[in-house]
Formats: sequence, C-alpha cells, structure tokens
Amino acid sequence: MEEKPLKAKSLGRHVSGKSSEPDIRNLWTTATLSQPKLNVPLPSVPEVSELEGSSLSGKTHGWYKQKKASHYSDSSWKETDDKDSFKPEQDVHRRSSLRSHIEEGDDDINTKAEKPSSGSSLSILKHTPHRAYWVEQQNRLPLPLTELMENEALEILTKALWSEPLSQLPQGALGDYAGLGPVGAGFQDVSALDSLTTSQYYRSPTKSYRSGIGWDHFLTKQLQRYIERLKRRQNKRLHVSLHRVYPGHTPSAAKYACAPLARRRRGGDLHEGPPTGFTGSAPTRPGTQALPAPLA
Amino acid sequence: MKLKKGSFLWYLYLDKLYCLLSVRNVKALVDYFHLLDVHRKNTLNDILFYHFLNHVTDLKRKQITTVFNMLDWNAEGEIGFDQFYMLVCILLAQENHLGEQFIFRHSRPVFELLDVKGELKIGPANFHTYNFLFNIRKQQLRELCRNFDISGDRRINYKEFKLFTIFSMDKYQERQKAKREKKEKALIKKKASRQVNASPRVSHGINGSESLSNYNF
Repeated sequence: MEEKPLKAKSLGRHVSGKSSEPDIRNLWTTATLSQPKLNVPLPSVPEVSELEGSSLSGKTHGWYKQKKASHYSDSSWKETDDKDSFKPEQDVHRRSSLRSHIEEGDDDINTKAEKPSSGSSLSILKHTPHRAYWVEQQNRLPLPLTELMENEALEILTKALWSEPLSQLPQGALGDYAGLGPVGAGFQDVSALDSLTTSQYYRSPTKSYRSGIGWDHFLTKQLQRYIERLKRRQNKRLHVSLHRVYPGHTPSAAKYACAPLARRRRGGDLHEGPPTGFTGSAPTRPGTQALPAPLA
Repeated sequence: MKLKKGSFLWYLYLDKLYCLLSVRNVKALVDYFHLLDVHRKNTLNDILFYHFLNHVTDLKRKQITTVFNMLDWNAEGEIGFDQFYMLVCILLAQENHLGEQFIFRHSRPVFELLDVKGELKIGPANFHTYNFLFNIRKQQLRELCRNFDISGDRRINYKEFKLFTIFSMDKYQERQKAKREKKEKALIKKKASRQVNASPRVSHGINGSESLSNYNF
C-alpha cells in the first residue's frame, strides 16, 4: 500500500510533462523501476551504481532492496545499520548469490504483480524480473558452487578465529635472539631461521586471531562479526532450500521472506542450525557445465 | 602436494595449453578471495593465508610459511589477489600434472618468485626450497646446473632459466609422444590378439563370405 503515493507521483509527472493521455501500463512500469532512485537512502546509492553487471541488473537489485525497505519501514530493523557494519558481505552477496536475491524478490514480484488491475501490466511485470534474472544468471556462478564457496570460506574463517595456539616448542630448540630472556618474545625456532634472508624476516606463525592478537582486538571482532553474518546468510539459504524441498511443510513464501524480521522481533536466535534430517544439497562437480572451457 | 578433493579450487579448470584460468573461473576466484578478505583491504594476511592453504592443500605449516614469504616479497605481511591468483594456478598446475608446462608458459613470474633475494639469479638452493611447489626433479635440477649455467657462476639467470624451460618442455613433449606411441602400439597389439582369438570362431560361421568380411578392416 505504500507504493500508492509513488505511483501517484510518477503518474502526475507524466501527465503534466509528456502526454495528455498516458498509457497506464507504461506509467506503472516506469514508476516501479524508478522507485529505488526516489526512495533509496543515500548510503545505498553507490552500491547500486557500482554494480558490475548491466544497468538492468542494478535496477532490479535496487528494486528488491527498496521493496524490502518499504515492507519493514515500520519495524525496528534498519537496513542501513547492516550496510554500515557489513558492506563486504553485501557486496559479496550482490556478486555471488543471485539466487537469494531472486528468492527474496520472488515474493515481492508476485505480490506486486497482483496489485495492478490490468492483465497486460501483469505480463509486463512478469517479463521484467525474468529478463533481469537471465541477464544476471549469465554472469554469476551456479548456486551449488556459490554455496560451496561460502561454506568453505566460513570454515576457513572460523578456524582462523578459533583454532588452538601452536604447541610450545621444546626449550632446547629455542634461541634467545632478541635477548629478552626465557619468557621473552624473542624466542624463535632455530631450524626455521634457515630460511632467513636479507629481503625477508621469519614470522612466527600465529595460528588464530584469538591467540595471536587477542579476543578484544578490533580485527578479531571484525572477523567475528563477518562470520556471524556468513552464518546467518547460510541459515537463510538453508531455509529457502528447505522450502523448495518440502514446500508443504514450510510457511508460504511471503511469510518466509519475513521470517528473519519475525525472529528479530521475538528476539529469537538467528543462528539456529538446519532442521534435523536435512542434509542440504550436495554440490555436484560442475566441470564442463557450470564453468565453461577457458577462452583460448 | 595435493588439493583437497571437493574444495572450491578443485572445481576450477586450468587451461592445459596456456596454464591459465578462464575469465569466468577468475571471476569466481575473485569472489572467493573477497569472501576470505575479511578486513576489506583486498589482501589476505598470514593467518588467513595459513588457514586457507591448510584447508585446501596438504601442505605443512613450514611449507605454508615458505610460500607466504615467497609471495609476500615486500614483507608487507599480506598478499594481494595477483599473488593469490598465481598461487592458485601453481596449485592447479601441480594437481593436473602440468608443472613443466606451467614453468615454460610462465617462466618470467616463476623466475621472479624463485629469485627470493632479488639478485636476478637463482641457485640450486632456491629450487630445493620451493621444490614442493614446482616439483622439479633431481635429474632436471642436475641438468640445469650442469648444462645451462653458461656464465659459469653456479647460478642461473633468466635467459639460462628460459633455455632450461624450453629444453624441459621439449623433453616433456617427447615423453608424451613416446607414451602415446606406446599406448597406440599396445592397442594395436590388443586388437591383433583379439582378431587371432576371434578367427577360429569366425571360421565356423555360416558361410565363407561372412568370415571374410570380418577380416576386411
């Protein structure tokens, strides 16, 4: 219902500006596409403009975002907060997980498609997102590979955050090269000093952020936040795929899109794991299908 | 050195001729790199790099540190996407047994990587240190030192190294050709033995023309 003023705005602009008898379908389409430009908060504008893909994909992306924002404008959830704190995640999200956009957007598209009264405008709407979908599909990775990539990154980053510190080296193998005494930081593995060259220095390998720079260091916190976001996104994707596998056992798509918001409102845990018995989709080796032969 | 089966890198396809990734594969790798780049500096620090390599390969801690030091030539404590891409290509070349081809195709960057001290010359010690990554055999190394050290200073400059790569590539192709010929010969032998085995049965055929037709290849 919040789109009404928008439509009226654009309608008025067209009526006064271009023709006395405007085609209602054209006006409606223009209003839909111009929405992000009108209402998107300032921080999100560069994100839309810096999209690597076609302008069409940028528009659709912005449109989805705007739709989300308008849906939840009355809630406590603020998208801008997320953007400020986690731009990289959104950037990656934008680049690699088209499907999640589409899945989020699908409900909006459907609900939006039901709003106009004329059947022809419905058909126009149906075509617009699909074209965008196919344009983006050409430039993006297939979903299983994207999932694999994200899961692997999550695993690596979790290890980088949590893994145990290195076991203590035997005292006999250590030499006090910095002269800081037996507990000083100058103790290094003598055998490792073979690789010491003039252009390099031997770095004592730190195994994790927590053991290396401390749990309260801002980089550790940044990594922790990043991991949480990745986990959240993974959960979200799992829910969506669950919905696809068992459509009868899950709430409707529209309810589903609002699920994170509902959980936030309830103050529930966003990091809940996948439901029992769900194994997820095992990525198949795309080989020749997903990743085409290299350009000669 | 082996790549972990089923890891993301395992799905990437290295072109056999050019020893490079396709544009789409590079794009996927960029996405992967961005996922690992937690601090949005377009780099990976040593901890992230260690855990990445530890996760996707069976390299040991010391080897990973050696690779990191090799790539982080300026000792900044971080590596960028260029170095990351180079490393991934090396890993994939090793995984696909294209080590010699890779060195031949990318002799300049490989030489620069091996030339850790920046002296524009590399000694056998350098090869020995990074052998786990480039998989240069002892015999090859001996040949390199004996036959290609034209200047006689017991170290190899880029031109000498390039000659060595051309030579080893020729040898590699000869080996491949010999293998192929051997395979073909074996196939022909197999076929011949099959025909010999099949001939008594054919001779018991219904008529003579049928048996003859079987022999006409």
